[in-house]
Amino acid sequence: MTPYGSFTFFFIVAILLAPTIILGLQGKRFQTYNMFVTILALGLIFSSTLRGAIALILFTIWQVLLIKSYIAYRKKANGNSIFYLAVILSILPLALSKLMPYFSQVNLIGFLGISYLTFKGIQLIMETRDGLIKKDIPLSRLLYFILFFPTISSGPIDRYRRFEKNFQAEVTADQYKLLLYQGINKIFQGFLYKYIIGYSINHFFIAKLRFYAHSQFEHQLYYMYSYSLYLFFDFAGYSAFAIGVSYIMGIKSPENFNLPFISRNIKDFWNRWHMSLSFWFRDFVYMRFVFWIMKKKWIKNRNLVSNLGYILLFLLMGIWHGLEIQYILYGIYHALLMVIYNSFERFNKKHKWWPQNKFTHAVAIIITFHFVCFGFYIFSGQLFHKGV
Amino acid sequence: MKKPLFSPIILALLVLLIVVLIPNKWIEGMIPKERINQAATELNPFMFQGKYVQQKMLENKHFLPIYGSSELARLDRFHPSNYFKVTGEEFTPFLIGRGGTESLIHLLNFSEHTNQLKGKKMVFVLSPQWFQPQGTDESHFVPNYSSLQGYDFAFNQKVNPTIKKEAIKRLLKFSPVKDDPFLSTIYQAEITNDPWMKRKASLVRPFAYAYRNLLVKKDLYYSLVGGKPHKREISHKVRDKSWGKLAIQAEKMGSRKSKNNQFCITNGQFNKIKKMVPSLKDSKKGASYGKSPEYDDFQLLLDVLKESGAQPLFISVPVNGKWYDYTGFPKEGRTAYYERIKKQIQSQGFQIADFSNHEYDPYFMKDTIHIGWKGWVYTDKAIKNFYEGKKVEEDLGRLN
Repeated sequence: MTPYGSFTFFFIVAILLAPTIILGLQGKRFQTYNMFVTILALGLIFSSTLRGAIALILFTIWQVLLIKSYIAYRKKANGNSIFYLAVILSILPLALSKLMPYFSQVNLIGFLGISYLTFKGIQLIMETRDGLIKKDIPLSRLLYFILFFPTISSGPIDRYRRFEKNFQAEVTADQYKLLLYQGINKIFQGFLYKYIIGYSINHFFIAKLRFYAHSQFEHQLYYMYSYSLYLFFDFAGYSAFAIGVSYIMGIKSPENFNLPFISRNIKDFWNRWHMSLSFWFRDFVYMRFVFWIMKKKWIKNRNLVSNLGYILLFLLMGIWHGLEIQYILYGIYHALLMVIYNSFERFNKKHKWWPQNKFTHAVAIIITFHFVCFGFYIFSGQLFHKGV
Repeated sequence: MKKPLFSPIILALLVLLIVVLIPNKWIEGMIPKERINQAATELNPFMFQGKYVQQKMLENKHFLPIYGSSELARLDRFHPSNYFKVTGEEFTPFLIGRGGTESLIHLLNFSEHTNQLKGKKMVFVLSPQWFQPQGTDESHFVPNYSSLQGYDFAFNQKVNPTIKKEAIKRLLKFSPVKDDPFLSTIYQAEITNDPWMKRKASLVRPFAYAYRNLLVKKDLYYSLVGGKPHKREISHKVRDKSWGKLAIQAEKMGSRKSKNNQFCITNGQFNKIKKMVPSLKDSKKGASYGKSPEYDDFQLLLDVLKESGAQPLFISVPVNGKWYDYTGFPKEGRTAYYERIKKQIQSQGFQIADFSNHEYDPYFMKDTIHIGWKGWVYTDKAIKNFYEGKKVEEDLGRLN
């Protein structure tokens, strides 16, 4: 069953979470029950494909073994090569599942949500390396974090230390009331976004484009904007479901979207669009890369280092979406935008060429919007599909 | 953050509860009686996929249901809906079908009403294009499949078990049935001896039944809302004319409206395909409608009609001969269909108006595949004879 894909899914989740809500409203602890719910929900989600279920189990065992042994190792030593090896081994299943389709008819390794779970694994290893996670993590909690069902298929990508804080918190009845209220609010925002607005854009506009567009160019242009809006409402709606259900389970999963279409520039955009992903890449790819280069003093020019960091970040993000040409181009496109914007920002600091006022703010939003939409147009793969 | 406020969600749940629990009788009481008459030419897909309106229609002797597909929407002045309206016939044609409503879809719909079909006169318009080598496909089946009819079929005890099993095997090939966890379980249990499956099905059945009741209610709400009137021509110019005169009128109209091509296709339709026309030349070499799983699907439909005692008249629509020759579609591939389908219908003892010799009759067809203008005139005559219990004739008689 696809998470949040049908009315039945919401209905079953509502029944499963009824005890959580009752416990929560009485100010009692409910995380043990939630763990049990997660097992049931996972069974429901993965019951349709046995192969997917097996892949998930094997993947989880692999990651848990890796994380547990790295934490154990880190208590004693801190070798570079072991750290690199652990990261590579953590990425390995994802990399194989992305490459698999090029070699075999059936994808034995892939399953719904593998890319999102990989983020959680790598993150744990990196934070252990940094000494942020020192103590051994109880197996049940580690599993609960990795397999937390509301966010399993497409995020938002949570951080372990944040998750743990929520997990251990004593929630009073009044605090839970607020969580429940926010959760329900989020879920209904999700319905509005995904099943009313997103659905309408797709059903009444994108599917009927050939009646609206009078030429090939018009067709592509309309598609570009409508697809961008559709993508946002669909994904933001999905994220709202995931966050809403998390809240009801007492876990404040991070936000994923913050009005991305009013971004002033491309940097601003990436602080508003798919935030849990871009922040992950910022913290675990960009920052690390910049620190590492600076520490080794290979390149002195801060600006160049920063640009190289962006290029690395967006190339990786592109590839992470898939090895298809459109995703790689999407990564290159955003890397380019970032580098250009970075140079522009520096230039403007010196020359004060672009003033800051209400008018320029509005113009900046409009310009950014069009560049962003063109990015999604690349992402959609429409350019590479023959015919319309 | 704001103060938690739960009254809206509680209110919403209450409204939902009322909508779901309100007795069906109350909703039926609110549906205006006129709805059935309006629905006759609305060609509303929700009505095709529903139950209530068709049930009321079948109860009423004054309706003559016409089942078919996309040709039904060619509502020109010769269309049965206009012709029998303005000539003051005692029956009103009631149209059921749109593009993609092929045998399996109609089969489910007929099964829904088996107990109402005894002695019921009806018309069924066939399209050669249903009989593709692969039969009907997802793109035709999915938009027309009705969950309500699918679920009712699962609980249907009236349809002959052998027919039911065969139909289920076919239905399980399509995603809306296959991917429906309740329905596919019950369907699979019907066609297997596996005790596990049977047990699973009996576990699922109460839930499926509850869901089915929800679908019944949904259909009532849809019937309450109704559809939009379909664009149609209402013209009195077809009144008090002999069939021959009508045919001449239809020819004149056809020639006026299809000037930009040599295939006797309407200008508008031809403009749509104009760019592709050169590339379609001889593109259908070796094609045939003579072999298709659709024949078996159609046989199931015939069996259900036979069992329920319905009195259908089948209209065998030809293709546009000039166009089909242009695309290189072989004559044998067409005649194989006409002959096979005729034999199949007649062997059940049903009547057929076979218009297959009109392939090259100008303006019999409105475009490449849809009957229109003169084709409707022939159809009108066949329907009139059929309704009056006379022998169905395939020609128009005297031309004056």
